[in-house]
Amino acid sequence: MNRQSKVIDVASAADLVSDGDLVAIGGIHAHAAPMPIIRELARAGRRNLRLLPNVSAGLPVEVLIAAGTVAEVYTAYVGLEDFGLAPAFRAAAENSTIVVHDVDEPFTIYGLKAAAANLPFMPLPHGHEATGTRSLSPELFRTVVDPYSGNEHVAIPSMRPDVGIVHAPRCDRFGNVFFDGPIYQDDLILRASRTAIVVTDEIVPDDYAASGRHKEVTVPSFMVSAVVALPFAAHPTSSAGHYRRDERMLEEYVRSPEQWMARYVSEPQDHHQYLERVGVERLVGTLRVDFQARADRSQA
Amino acid sequence: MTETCTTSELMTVTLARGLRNEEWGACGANSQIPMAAFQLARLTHAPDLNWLSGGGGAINSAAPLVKSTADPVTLDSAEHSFRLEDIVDFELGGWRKAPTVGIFGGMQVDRHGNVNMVGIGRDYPKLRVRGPGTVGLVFAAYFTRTMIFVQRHDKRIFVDEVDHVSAPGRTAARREFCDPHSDGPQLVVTPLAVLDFGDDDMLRIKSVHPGHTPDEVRERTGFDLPSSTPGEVPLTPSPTDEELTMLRERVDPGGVLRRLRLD
Repeated sequence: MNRQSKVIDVASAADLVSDGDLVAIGGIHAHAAPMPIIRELARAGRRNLRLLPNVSAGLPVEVLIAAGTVAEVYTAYVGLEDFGLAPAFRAAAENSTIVVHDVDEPFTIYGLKAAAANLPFMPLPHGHEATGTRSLSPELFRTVVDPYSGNEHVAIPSMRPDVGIVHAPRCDRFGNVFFDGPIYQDDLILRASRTAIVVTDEIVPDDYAASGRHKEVTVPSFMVSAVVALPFAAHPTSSAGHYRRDERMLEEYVRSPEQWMARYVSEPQDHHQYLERVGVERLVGTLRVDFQARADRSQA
Repeated sequence: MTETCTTSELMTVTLARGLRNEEWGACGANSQIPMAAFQLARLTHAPDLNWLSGGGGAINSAAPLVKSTADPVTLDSAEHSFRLEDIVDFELGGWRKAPTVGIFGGMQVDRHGNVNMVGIGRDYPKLRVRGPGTVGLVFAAYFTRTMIFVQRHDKRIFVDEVDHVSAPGRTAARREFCDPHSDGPQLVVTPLAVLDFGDDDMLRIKSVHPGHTPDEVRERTGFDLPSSTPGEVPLTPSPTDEELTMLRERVDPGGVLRRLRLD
């Protein structure tokens, strides 16, 4: 018998996400967002999703909120970095059409870490008490007494996503993941989530990982449930080693979010129609072609 | 200095001079000025300074300055890359072997150096302006010391008391809950001036940038600002030729700082 491939199409991957699920989304800012599944979920009209996005989430959260799929967000940050505040998130929060749980980086990371380690919670070192964040989300930041010292500490609950979705530049069809650039929290998302999906730009050969590259496999195949392989799988966010973030797309979003949502999310029926709308010139413009130039410079 | 520098370059040099050789530093998102300051300090007086480029995790990146702190290209010339898990473990005080310094900004800064990124309005969760969130500002409770930078100087940013404390300043809560070696904010660098703290843990004017006056700074600040020094408020020292050359040729050849919008 042959080893089974986990490669599925993007619609089947989106079917792994149910209404009301707690969904973790990888990447950071306009980097390494699993956009094809995000667009598919938006088009499919999922409802009442609870998001546990990466610690500095932008476009994927914006798109899901703008499409009306989101009920709650556990957020350390939703914004567009140098492109400013995130308009759909801001409007939904200010009009109370979504519930925002204000948390912080330790919450997201240690919540996932606790789930990955099968721990019920994680205590924090003293200092967190000096911030006002606990008073914003008192049900999430509770306290616990250290049984050894007797000291009271702020605690973070285990956060186990129903589904975790990340982007990786390369992956094999069994789910061995190669994060060629920053890993962000995406290793934790894959380890912690009940169902873990990787969207990748490139499927490497079956024997690639086992050819002396075990250290490059950041997350092993058995922690991954499904793989979706598509060209420009993170566009308009970046993919390490492949392409930069598409700044014109982000500018276009900030200028007219509704038109952008129609043109790039609701109207294209699949990823290829999306890429056609973006256009060859813009896609090629994001490609990293400066590797040789850098190598030459460092030798000079 | 023979050539004129931009305000963003002056702010960068000011922050760079405030960094120490033995420190480990970090900045957050949308932090072109701190990124450049860390690199400039390493090229001038602080070659042993270690630094983390935000959520991308690049350690000691020498890559030409880019707009996004987490851009994978920051790894091109980095010595190591931290995962978020490594960042949180380290910034909460784990495995530390050197003093740490964080540089960050926010939507509101008050006279004690508290910083808010949650939003404007006290009637939580009904905020008048919903901000992005607390992001990594919690680490201000754990760093050995911090420096604050803002790209706008007006009464909306500099308020008497922040609506929500994302990063604790020099407060009673800090003294009660934080490690005694965590000193909180030391300096606030704005497009108009450099502010520091008095013995009462309240902000003062340390210097004004060329082209601005103490009156203008006070007019655009939502609380009283005494002077750090008796007599006339001094001008912020300009970059040296060496600093400016280093900054333009090595750190920021693409001119990211020179195009940065400041108000």
